[in-house]
Amino acid sequence: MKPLIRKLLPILGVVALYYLIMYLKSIKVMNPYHIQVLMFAGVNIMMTISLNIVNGFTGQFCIGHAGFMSLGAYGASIVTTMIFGGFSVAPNLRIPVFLLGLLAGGLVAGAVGLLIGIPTLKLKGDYLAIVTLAFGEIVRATLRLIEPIGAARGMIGIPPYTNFAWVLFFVVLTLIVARNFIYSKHGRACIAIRDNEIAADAMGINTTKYKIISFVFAAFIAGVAGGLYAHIMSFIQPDTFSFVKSSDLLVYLYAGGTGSLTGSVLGGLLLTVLPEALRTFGNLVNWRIVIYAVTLVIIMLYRPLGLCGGKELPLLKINRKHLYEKSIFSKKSVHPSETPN
Amino acid sequence: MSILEIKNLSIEFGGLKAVDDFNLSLEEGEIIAIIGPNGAGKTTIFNMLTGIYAPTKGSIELNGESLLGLKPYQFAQKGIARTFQNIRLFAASTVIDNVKMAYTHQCKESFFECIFRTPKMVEEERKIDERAMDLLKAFDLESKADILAKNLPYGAQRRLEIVRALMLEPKILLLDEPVAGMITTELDDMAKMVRELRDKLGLTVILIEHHMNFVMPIADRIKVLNFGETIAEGSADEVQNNPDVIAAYLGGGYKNVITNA
Repeated sequence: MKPLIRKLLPILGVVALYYLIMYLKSIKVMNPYHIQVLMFAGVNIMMTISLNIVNGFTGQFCIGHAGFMSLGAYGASIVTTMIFGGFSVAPNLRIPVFLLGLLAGGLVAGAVGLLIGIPTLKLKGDYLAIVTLAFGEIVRATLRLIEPIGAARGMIGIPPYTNFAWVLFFVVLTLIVARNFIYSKHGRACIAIRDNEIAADAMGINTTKYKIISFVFAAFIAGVAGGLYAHIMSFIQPDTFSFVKSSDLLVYLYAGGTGSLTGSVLGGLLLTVLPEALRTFGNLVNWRIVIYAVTLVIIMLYRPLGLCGGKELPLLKINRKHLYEKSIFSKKSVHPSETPN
Repeated sequence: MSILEIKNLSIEFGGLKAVDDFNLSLEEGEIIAIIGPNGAGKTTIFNMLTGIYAPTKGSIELNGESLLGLKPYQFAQKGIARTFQNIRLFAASTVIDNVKMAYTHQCKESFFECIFRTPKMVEEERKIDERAMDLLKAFDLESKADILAKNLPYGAQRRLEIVRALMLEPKILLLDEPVAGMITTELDDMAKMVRELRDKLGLTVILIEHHMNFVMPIADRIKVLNFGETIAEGSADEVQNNPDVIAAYLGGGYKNVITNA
């Protein structure tokens, strides 16, 4: 019975969180603006998890991650707005169109990730960083030149399909999928590459292949996050996804702690909400960016590995013992100590 | 038939001949030691046998199949596993994960099975876990399975490197200075372990070592290298009494240096 409870508890927690937020909204403690900040936080959490897979778990250094986000945002918006006609979609088709758009966004970002990953992931450290930086800028510059999607003016009239429930759903889905990835053969191969690439190679791990897998997987998540973002804002333009956005993501990641999903959630949530929260303190409004920056310095001084560097909530871990628990789906699997000899 | 056939293996770095015409024919279940002073080219040979360096000349054949031109990970997948002179563990991972990481190639989990954690994938994980645990048990590391590799004591880290290499199910195991920095009692344990690897698992072992009292009792054959050239070969006794070997290790005076050049 215990594993059943362990599996259901987080789901109940998420549902409870959703109803709590909705309740706070209904009694006017939270207004639509608060909800929107939370939605942005959710998108940022997804982006941070995506970046964490590449930088934190595979030990590569990508600093052009906003490029994947913009590809996802444009990919999804083209499907929902240009192909299916945006607001003119029949109400009962909106959700399928929206999901199709997100999938398209993810696939576009993933495909481009594969395309640039193959030649570049042979590079190491700083050199890879420079190439990914260039990639982000190339995406932005290219999108500014494509007239049918609004060029530098951006794309308008994107239906605001994304609501808080969708964001919450995709954040939880990303967390589950990312966690499963990390605690599998693929995740182990990525971590081996991060810890010691020469040894990983000597242990039969095709390092280039697993780097590309992690890169494409991360790009897909970033693409879906971009799609969600576009359908919150209703408006996207290439310059939103500039290097500033990429560096914001790096800050969320390193302040939260690399190699920790808990850290990505915390980093993305806190650092999105903090600058907005500071707006509410009357005289401090003008100082909010300074306070934000000082907070970062303090975090890094007292927690050099980030808030949760290398640590993980039990919820986001797959303990080795869980392998021996009776699965809900199958009757097999017992702990070796319990097997009769 | 020999399991590993190395012929005329040579490598040059610029004008420097690091290894010159190295020949070795290895029978299954043999323990061969390569000894020689620092800079003799021993580790360079290992690096060629694991695909890190491409030899300038010569051939490497495993069970009659040429391995030249393959990448390091392919050498490992073909069955040549190694340990490192300076320990290279996956330091920030747990002991058992270190071992499981070496099972990536044989592991049959597809990407989508992994991210959705299907019952089939969980079952496969459990099997890998048990395999790794069995190996750790055999090397007295099972109680440390869940601690980080970097927190292990030095001797245990060396053992873990061997366990990790064994998880690859290798045909040939290359040990690069397995007892470097160990004390005498640890030395004896390691000697016993290497012998057991051969006797129980039927492994073929090539080892590089400086400790003569470790090498002499366990090696079936010894090859002595100096400045990239093989200067002696044979059983422990033959090698120990070879004047060239003594000269290489103790210094042969200027006359020897001139005649060798």
